[in-house]
This record gives sequence, C-alpha cells and structure tokens, in this order.
Amino acid sequence: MLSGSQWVSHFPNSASVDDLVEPFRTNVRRFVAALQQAHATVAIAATLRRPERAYLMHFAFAIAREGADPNGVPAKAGVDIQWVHRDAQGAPDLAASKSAAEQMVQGYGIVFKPALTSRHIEGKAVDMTIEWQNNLVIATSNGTSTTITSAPRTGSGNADLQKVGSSFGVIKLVSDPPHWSFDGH
Amino acid sequence: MAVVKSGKACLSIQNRSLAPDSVIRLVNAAPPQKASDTRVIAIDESCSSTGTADGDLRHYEIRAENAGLIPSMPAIAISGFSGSFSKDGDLATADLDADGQPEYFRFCTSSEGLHFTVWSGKPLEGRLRWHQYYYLGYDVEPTCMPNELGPAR
Repeated sequence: MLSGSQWVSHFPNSASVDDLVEPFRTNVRRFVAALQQAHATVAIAATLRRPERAYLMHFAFAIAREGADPNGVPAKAGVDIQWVHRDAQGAPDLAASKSAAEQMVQGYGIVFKPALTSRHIEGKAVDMTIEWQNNLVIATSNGTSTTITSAPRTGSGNADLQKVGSSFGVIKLVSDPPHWSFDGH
Repeated sequence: MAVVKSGKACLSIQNRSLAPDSVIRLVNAAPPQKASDTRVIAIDESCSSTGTADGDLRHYEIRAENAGLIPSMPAIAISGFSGSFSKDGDLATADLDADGQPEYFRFCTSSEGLHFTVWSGKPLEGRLRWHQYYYLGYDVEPTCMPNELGPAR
C-alpha cells in the first residue's frame, strides 16, 4: 500500500499493561496493585508503542521534513508500505511521495523527529500519573508496609514513592513526569 | 502553554480568572522566536487533554486566527503582561516582571516531552523563573540539559 494518511490508524499504541514484556509486565502489575490497594489513583496513558508505528512515524518525518530519499528508506518486516509514489509513466514522483509523507506527519501530529528505539517500543516502559490524598500507606515489593508523608502527592515528584516503585523494578525517569521503565530510561 | 490540536486552539495556564476576550501573549519558543497575541474565548475543560497534566492549570479555548501557532507545537502563553517584546538575535525577550532585566524563552526535548522555560537573563546561564512540561506521547531524541528540567527558583 502506498504511503499516506491511511497508515496513521495502523499499529495503534497501547495503554494496556498486558502488552508489556516480562518480567516488567508483572512488576508493573504488582506496583499498580499496591498503589490501588493504598487508594492511590493510577491513570495509565501509554505502555507499548509498536515498532511498526515508530518506523512509519520516523521515516514519514524524514521524507516530509528532512528531505530523505523515499527510495532509500529501509524495509521493515510486517509493514508493506511503498514510500515511492510514481507518475503515470511509472517514474518516481518525489513531490507526490513527499506530500503523502507529510499527510502522515500531520495525521500523527508530530513536530519532532520520532525515535526508532525506546523503552516504550521495547515494551519496557509505562506512562502513568499517580496521585493520592493525605498519607499513603503502601506495601513495598517484599510486603513491608511503608507510610509516605512527604509531598508532592504525585508519582512524578515524590522521591519516596519512586523508591517504592524501584522495589518492584519500576524505575522513574525524572525528566519525563509520567514515565517509568525497567531501568529508568 | 497554548497549542493547536485537532483544529482547536487551547490554553492551559495557572490563572483561574481569565475572562472571555482577555489578551494572551504567545511566544513561539522555536528559533527564530516570535511573539504574538490572541484572546480567550472561554473556559474549556476539553482542553485539559492537550499534554499538560498539572492540577493547578486552568484550561481555556483561545482564538487561533493570527496567533501564529504551529499545529501540535506548543507556545509559551503569558497573561497580564502588556509590555513590549524585543529581539536578541533569533530570541525574543521581554521584561516580564519590570525589574530592568529581560526574560528569555527556551524549550528542549526530553525522552517523550518538551520542557519550556523562562529565564531572567540568557537561557541556561541566567536564573530559571518558570518551567512547564508538555507530554508529546511519542519518543524523541533528548536535548535537555539538567538545569532546565526545573524547578524554577
């Protein structure tokens, strides 16, 4: 299938913990269960970002915004996309190829070049917001109860909760408030 | 922050009392930086899903016409400032707090978001005065330096 906006709905991202890889999947499940048991509010925004989608986003941006040669884009297994559009004579049509890639860029709503690799693409990261009221009495990975009295009462900013996450193997990346992963990247 | 997504221009700002038609100053932080003006239309909680997840923020719809907003690229939004903007090379500046020292504007990318900052003095060299994270929802190459990840001082 030729490149164009019809690709944007393919390979949707996931917000399901089920789509993470083991052992991170089980670690996230246990951490989220401990949070919910402690009456914290957990909202998961993203888990797996499919590598096929990352490939489509990355090379659409490269063609549309960076002048990459559509004919030079490497193939990816499972993604039967034709980046090169052709004119009526069968010759490569660079303008049409670039226009179709731009449709994809706008459909994805991207303004920066998407990465081809990440912990999300590996299924080893989760974006979630965590909030609670008053003190948080929560079990760590070994079952020991700990009481968090410090502020702020959010997963993104509370160092004590981030230590609890670490005990489950769910590590905070400080630079991105919702982001947790298996190694903190 | 102000951003156009799905054709709607949204403002998320730590100001709970903006009346309709209030003037908002916008700074596009991508060099060459540009300042522009827009106006508030009304409170719009549907704008809360535009990448800023801060409980202190209030969300409004704003006028998109002539605001100079690039789709999906947030701009820094300022309320209650009626002074002028100047240029320092590719950078916009303004003395937001009227202390005689210009404020500068900057953004950088983290793994999946943008960090917008305002500095008294040159970016990364002066004093960090304001910081706001914007969630992109896709992975990008990080460019941020440690001293622009907040908090403001």
